[in-house]
Amino acid sequence: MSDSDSDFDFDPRLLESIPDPLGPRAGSSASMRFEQIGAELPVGIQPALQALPTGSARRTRTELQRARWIAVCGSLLWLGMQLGLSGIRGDMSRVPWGYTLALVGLPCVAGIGCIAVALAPGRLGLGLRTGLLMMLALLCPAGFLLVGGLQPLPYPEVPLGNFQFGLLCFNVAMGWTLLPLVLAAYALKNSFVGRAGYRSALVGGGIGLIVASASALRCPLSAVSHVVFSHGGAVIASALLGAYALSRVTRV
Amino acid sequence: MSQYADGDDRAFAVVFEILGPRLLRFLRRLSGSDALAQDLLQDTLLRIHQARGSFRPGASVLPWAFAIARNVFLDSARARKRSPIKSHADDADTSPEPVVSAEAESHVLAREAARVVERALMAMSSVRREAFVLVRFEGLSIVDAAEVLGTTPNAVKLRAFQAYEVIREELARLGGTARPLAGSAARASSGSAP
Repeated sequence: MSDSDSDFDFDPRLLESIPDPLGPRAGSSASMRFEQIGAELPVGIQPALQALPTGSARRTRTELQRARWIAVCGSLLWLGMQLGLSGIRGDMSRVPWGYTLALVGLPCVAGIGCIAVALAPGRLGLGLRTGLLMMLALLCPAGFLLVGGLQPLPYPEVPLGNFQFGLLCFNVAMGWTLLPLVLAAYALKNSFVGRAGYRSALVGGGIGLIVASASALRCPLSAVSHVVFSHGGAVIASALLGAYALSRVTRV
Repeated sequence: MSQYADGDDRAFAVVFEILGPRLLRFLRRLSGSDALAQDLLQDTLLRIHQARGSFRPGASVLPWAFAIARNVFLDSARARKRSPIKSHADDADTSPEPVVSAEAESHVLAREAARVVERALMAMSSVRREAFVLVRFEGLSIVDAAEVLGTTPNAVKLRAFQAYEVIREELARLGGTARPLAGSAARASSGSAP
């Protein structure tokens, strides 16, 4: 039977009639000892402390924040350097502002938004609601494909590109996403207690969208198929890398 | 917990004392095995230590810790390829005790009911078991349990109720003590039948 999200109403007090096989819970006071629940304490407190990892595995809040800033600055530096080496597209003066907004401004904002949502701790530190995360993880990359697909050519003589250039552009975009993904893995290791898959997909998708906006500044090829499959394909691939690879590191 | 997250290792002793027993019970209920629960507790405490920097200041610790413990249990179950776990409820001495008083008889019945409950919990899907354990035995609200399980409050209610129905049926076979509260029968306004 599948869980239905339509309203199901019942009184949780019903459950109190079921006896507890382990006996009454003695609360969470510091006076409780393992012996009270019939199990021997596997290790004392001191050995447990000594068994805890030192070095890079010991991440305090301060260290985590520092790691995140390093990741953000490193990623921006990397993208800036790549864009500087590649150069801004030579026909920028002929591209309408609406086109630039749709393929540069909007993806950049959406990408930052995706990452912010992924990092939001939620009420209990377990992330935002699953439904919201799932929806954004699917809609944001799909939204880029839709927006890119609906754009008219910026001007009549704009170069369209071909399959080979499309593949090249996809490879370049993926290359640009790799270092930010690695930095994200470093900064977000053991950070997501709940919904690690969706949150990591949002981080990957967010990185992909930011790289796509940088790609639109670099790449003069403007065929719809090029934008959708090469640039958009890199966004999708980045989101998938986030969901399946990054999540292995971020999940607690 | 906030001190611990900020790097105060001395706070770990306090965190360990408070969380340890609760987590052990939770893992015992999920896994049905004392030995496995202790192993899982070790892993859970290690993951809590590794993830402490990401703990949200001021948030409630227990749901966060339960979510980590649940992840540990799920990883363990996947690693063991969901091999059936032998519940220690079956290991207990089942030979009839000589009943000498009403109090002793009541004690025997209570023990048998507890065994039935544990067997029923281990026999059902982990999805239902988790929801039931969090709400009934660990005292989490429906909303908090939904956060821990990464699902909706409605789904938690449904799963917990389904688990309750199964256990109640088993107890009824025993002639057990479970009775629904008067005037509070569950109803499904969606019409989705169990």
